Amino acid sequence: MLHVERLSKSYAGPHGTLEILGDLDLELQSGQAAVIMGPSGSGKSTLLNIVGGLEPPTAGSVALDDMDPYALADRDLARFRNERVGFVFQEHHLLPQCNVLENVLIPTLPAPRDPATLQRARDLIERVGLTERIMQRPATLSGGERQRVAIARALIRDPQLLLADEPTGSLDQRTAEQIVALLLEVHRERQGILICVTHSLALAERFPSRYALREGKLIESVPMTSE
Amino acid sequence: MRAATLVVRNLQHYRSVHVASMIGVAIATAVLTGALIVGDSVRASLQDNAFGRLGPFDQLVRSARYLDEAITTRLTEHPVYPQQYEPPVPLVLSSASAVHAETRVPAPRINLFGVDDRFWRAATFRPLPKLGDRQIAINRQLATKLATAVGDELVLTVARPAQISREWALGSRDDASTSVRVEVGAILPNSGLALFSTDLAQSYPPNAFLPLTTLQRLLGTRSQVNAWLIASRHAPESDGTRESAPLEAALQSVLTLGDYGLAMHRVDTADTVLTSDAFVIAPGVEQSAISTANKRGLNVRPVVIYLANTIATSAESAGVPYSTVAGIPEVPDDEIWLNQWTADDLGIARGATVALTYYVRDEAGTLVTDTASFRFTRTVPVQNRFATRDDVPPYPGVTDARSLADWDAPFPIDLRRIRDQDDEYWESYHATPKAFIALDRAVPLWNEQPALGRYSSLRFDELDADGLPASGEQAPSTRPASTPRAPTRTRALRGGTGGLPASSSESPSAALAADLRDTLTLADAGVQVVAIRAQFARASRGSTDFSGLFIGFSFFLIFSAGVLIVLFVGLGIERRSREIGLLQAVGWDRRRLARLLLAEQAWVVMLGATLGVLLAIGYARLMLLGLETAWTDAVRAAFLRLRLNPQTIVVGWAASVLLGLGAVIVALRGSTRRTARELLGTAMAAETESLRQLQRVSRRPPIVSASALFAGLLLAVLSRVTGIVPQTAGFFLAGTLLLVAGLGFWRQFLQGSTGAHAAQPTAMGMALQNTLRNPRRSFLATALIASATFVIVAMDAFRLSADERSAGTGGYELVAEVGQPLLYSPESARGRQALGLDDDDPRWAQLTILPARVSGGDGTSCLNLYKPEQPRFLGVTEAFIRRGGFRFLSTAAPVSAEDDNPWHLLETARADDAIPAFGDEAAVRWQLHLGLNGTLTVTDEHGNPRSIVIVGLLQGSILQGELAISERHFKDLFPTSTGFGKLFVDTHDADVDDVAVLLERSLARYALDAQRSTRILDDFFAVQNTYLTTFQSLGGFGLLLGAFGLAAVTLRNLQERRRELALLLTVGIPRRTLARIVFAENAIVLASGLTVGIVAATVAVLPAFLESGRVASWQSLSATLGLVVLIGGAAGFVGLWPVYRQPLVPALRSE
Repeated sequence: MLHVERLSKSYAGPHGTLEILGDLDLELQSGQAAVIMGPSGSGKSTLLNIVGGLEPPTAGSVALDDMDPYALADRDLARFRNERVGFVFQEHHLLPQCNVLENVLIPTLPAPRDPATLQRARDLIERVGLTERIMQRPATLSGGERQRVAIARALIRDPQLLLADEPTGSLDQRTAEQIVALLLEVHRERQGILICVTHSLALAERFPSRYALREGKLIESVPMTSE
Repeated sequence: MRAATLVVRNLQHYRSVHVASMIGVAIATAVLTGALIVGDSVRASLQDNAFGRLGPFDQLVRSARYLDEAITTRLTEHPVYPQQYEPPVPLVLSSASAVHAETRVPAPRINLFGVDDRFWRAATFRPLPKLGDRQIAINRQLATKLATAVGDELVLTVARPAQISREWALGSRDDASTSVRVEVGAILPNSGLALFSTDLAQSYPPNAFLPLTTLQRLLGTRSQVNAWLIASRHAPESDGTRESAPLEAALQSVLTLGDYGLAMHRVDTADTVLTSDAFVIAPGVEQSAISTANKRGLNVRPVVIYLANTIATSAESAGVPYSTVAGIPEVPDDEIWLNQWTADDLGIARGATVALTYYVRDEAGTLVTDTASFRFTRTVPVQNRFATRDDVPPYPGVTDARSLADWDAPFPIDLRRIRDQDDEYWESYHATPKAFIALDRAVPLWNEQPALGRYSSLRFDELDADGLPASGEQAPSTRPASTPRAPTRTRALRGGTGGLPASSSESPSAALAADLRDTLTLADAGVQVVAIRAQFARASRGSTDFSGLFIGFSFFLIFSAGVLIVLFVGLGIERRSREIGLLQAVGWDRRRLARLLLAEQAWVVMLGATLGVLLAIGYARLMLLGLETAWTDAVRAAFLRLRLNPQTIVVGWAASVLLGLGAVIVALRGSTRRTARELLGTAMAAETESLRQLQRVSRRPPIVSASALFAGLLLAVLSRVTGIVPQTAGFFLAGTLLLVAGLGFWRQFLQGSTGAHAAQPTAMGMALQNTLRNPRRSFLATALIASATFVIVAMDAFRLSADERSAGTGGYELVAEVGQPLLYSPESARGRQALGLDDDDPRWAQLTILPARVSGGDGTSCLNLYKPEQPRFLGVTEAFIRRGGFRFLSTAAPVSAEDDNPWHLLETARADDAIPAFGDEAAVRWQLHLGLNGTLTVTDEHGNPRSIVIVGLLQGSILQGELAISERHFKDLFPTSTGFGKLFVDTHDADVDDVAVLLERSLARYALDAQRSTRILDDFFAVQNTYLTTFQSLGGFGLLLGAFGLAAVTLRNLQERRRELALLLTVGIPRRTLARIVFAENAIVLASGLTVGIVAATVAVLPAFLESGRVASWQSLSATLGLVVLIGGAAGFVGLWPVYRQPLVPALRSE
């Protein structure tokens, strides 16, 4: 379970303090897939970063299965992210010098060598439909294929929490739909929590739980209107 | 918008990037131009130092014999001489040893000059010394050595000259030196004429100056000198030198037969006899006399004169004592003819055996008697045409004695043996020969040094119509028998014959004498005209080209700077990828684009080179300061001055600009190949290019690397073993090629090992992959480290250590030099007794002392910066040769299995008549620029060119200062050189210091100075090790450049990969793991550079090590490499800063 309580995030700016998130609450259970929508600059990515252990809140708390990541030391926080969180970014951030398989295996670097890990990576690559490209480098993949690799990478450690920040932002409509469908499919195959951030209504419709982020607060079950 | 405008805008906008490139160019310029300036400065300093010692003089006339000072006047009265030259300045050149009269502080070998006001007027320092008769002026160098001041007294010991060679059996050895007590009247500065010397070395010579007449009196050479200094009137050549030919011609025309030491006497109406005051006629004079005789249709008969202690019929009989005997061509080989007086005195019948007993010198130089027997076959009249008293050259103390009892001879005479009839003979016939043997027997018996001269006299006979001598058998002398002969020297007149009445000037003999005088050369008189300023100018070019040397060893520093330029220009271009892509997209073709970038970079390069020229002056100053301080062992003189030659600076600037532009072109080449799409794309485009580079490299067969490896190995061997490729150039070229090969193989090896992987990643695996993401950058950084490592390792491998000294001493623990030559060899008990040593001291029996002769000339050791023109020679005895020893790098011919002593090669007769010599390898290669079987031409004492061939190279030996030849060949080259100048001492088990004290005390009157051989080697090794230290410093600078480049590359890489870093942190890779990856990337480049550099250095120096058997100094090498690792590792830590300071979130956001 993901429990976010009274979460606030503000930044000090040249003209005073800028409050991005204020008193935000969120609770998701395992198996739940949620989408968070909001206009650009509303704090969607910030919320995802805080939940994912990338950025501490100004106030409030985050707990994943009762574990507050920000109560951990740096090394344990890194392990938290490595073992419990999976990220999919808009820019995919694949390592250009590594092939598909290696990119998927990147999060396993701190872990002990295990043949099962390698097989899991192959399975994930097959699951995202890139078996034939397994030894190729990102430079030879299309945008959609790269994002598939990013998804497989995010899942290699079987995280409890899968966070996708605008995963389709740089893709065409058809590819975006495929990516979202893939995300939801793999989520259904697992018992984790999926949080996806997007500003696309069409994609948001596919998620059972929908939230809107307005003025730093989350509002559940947003009406289906264009942004 | 014009292209020029764009160039200016780009220069302004990207100035921060260009500054880095400019720094690289400036460094390269500073090093290259600085090296050229150092070379100019050293050469100019050497020349200034040399010329300063000559004052206004540019010609030196020096004579092996002492000549009449009146020649000075004759020259000034010569019709041509005054037009070309200033009046000549006569002086006496001598050597001496000095001791402080009170403190006994010694100066074993000093230059002693006899000069007068004419010399001092040419000096530039003031005040000029005003010396009393028993006062001496010394320079500051000598004053410091003796710890003396004005008013103190010194004891000088000077070698006395002798007309008759002391090396000859009957040459006098009793009065070889004389001592005098003098007061220091003036101490001269270490500058100008106070440093005058005829041999050149950068150290200040210890000079002393006596009034000319004082020294003449001391030496017994009244009104005679052995040198003149002359300043030319006419304009100098471009190098400051002037011609000697007019001087030689004038000098030759004013010399008389007497100046040559010759006297010509008519003994009858037809015969004329030529004799020399040296008792033997020099080979050149002999040849000239024969040539003159042939031209005039005269016959020449040589005669050898000697003294027989006894002419006897048996060993028991007393025989005839102290008789002149003659060797003449008419007597058959084993026969002897006696004059009537002798035959009657002996009462001998024809066919009987006659024994001649005479003095010879043994190996120790002491007089021993020897006997030769002949068969008596003929009696001749006392006065005969074969040889008379006129054939006997003057022998002071004997030929001018009134009676036998008045003889004052330098050999033992038992006056009790002289009988009345002997005295009567002397009164009637004086030194008329009593016995005659074959000429060909006499020469080897009594004149064993052909180079001194074979014959005592030459008789010129007129030939009759039948070609026979026209004179009859009896040819009475023209002088009354009772009149003793006056010394020949005073009777030789210019153009005429000595001793003849004026009316005989119209006689054929007068014409003959005139002809002979015209035929004789200056060399026949032992006179040499030296264009000394020209000689010094040549020597000042130095044995080693410092420009080339500093450029050579800075080569890798320059290379590193070039690599840095490529790196920074490349980095700058990559930063402007999108701009370049845009220009391509809007229609600029690649050539136009390249011109734009090149034009921009050209300005950067020229500005950098200009800055570099300024830095070069500072760099050169620093190098010269280093040579005079920390590295003073390399030059041992404090006279180096910075000399800026505009031509050199322009050349350096231009060469640096070319180098910089070359580096820029290399950097630009890759950039302009990329397409606009790639350049305008995201970072993925750069990675696409990287992938393409990797694929290109992996597909390419290693032809270039293999070729470079082969060529490098070949050069390394060729330059060492043969003379086809000069050593230094060969070493550097080989090193460069081996580096290229190593880097090429490294790149392909890494590429092959980083193919597609199907495995869980590891930190090291990722580090390896990251290294090749931009192969050019990694390659350049590796090349920087590799080249610096190469220099440091290769130089350290040549460092000479104490362990290598032992073989270089040849087993001699001590080497002693003497200020006064030893006329007897201390090797034997007889010799030690002759030297006046206490042979009862048991320590003598423990020692092996081998003497050697030493010539004058230029030292060939690396301690001398001047180029040796006439190298110094060491004449080693047969005992020295038999003993062998030392370590040889190579010899010209293999030695036999029975006798593995290479020293016997010095005694081998050669078909080409070249004299075989051994030299220390360092001296032969670096000072004489020769190798094994190399030849050089030297001038012997007679002025003849002689060929010397190097038949053996000694390794790291104490003989670096001279070329070693056999004693026989030494006497051939330098027949009038007297005595031994060096002693090589094997102390065996005796205490070395104790033996040194024994030698110095026992031979104090010869000013003996004993030194440990290991100390001599230390001095030699210090020069080489200092050069290595100097050049290692440059290598260290190259390493700093490499580390700087590595740090720049690391930071640049991390800057480009900051989002990647953020991702890795995001997926939970701990910072520590990231730091390990980043550090490992750096470590791979460092380790690769070290490995390639070490391997290349090892292969490059391996031939030298295999040839020499030397072992590397691993301790020193390990310490040096440890420093390389430290500095390189420090560069790696620079990369850790962004890892630990990287903020996560901002880096993840799109730009």
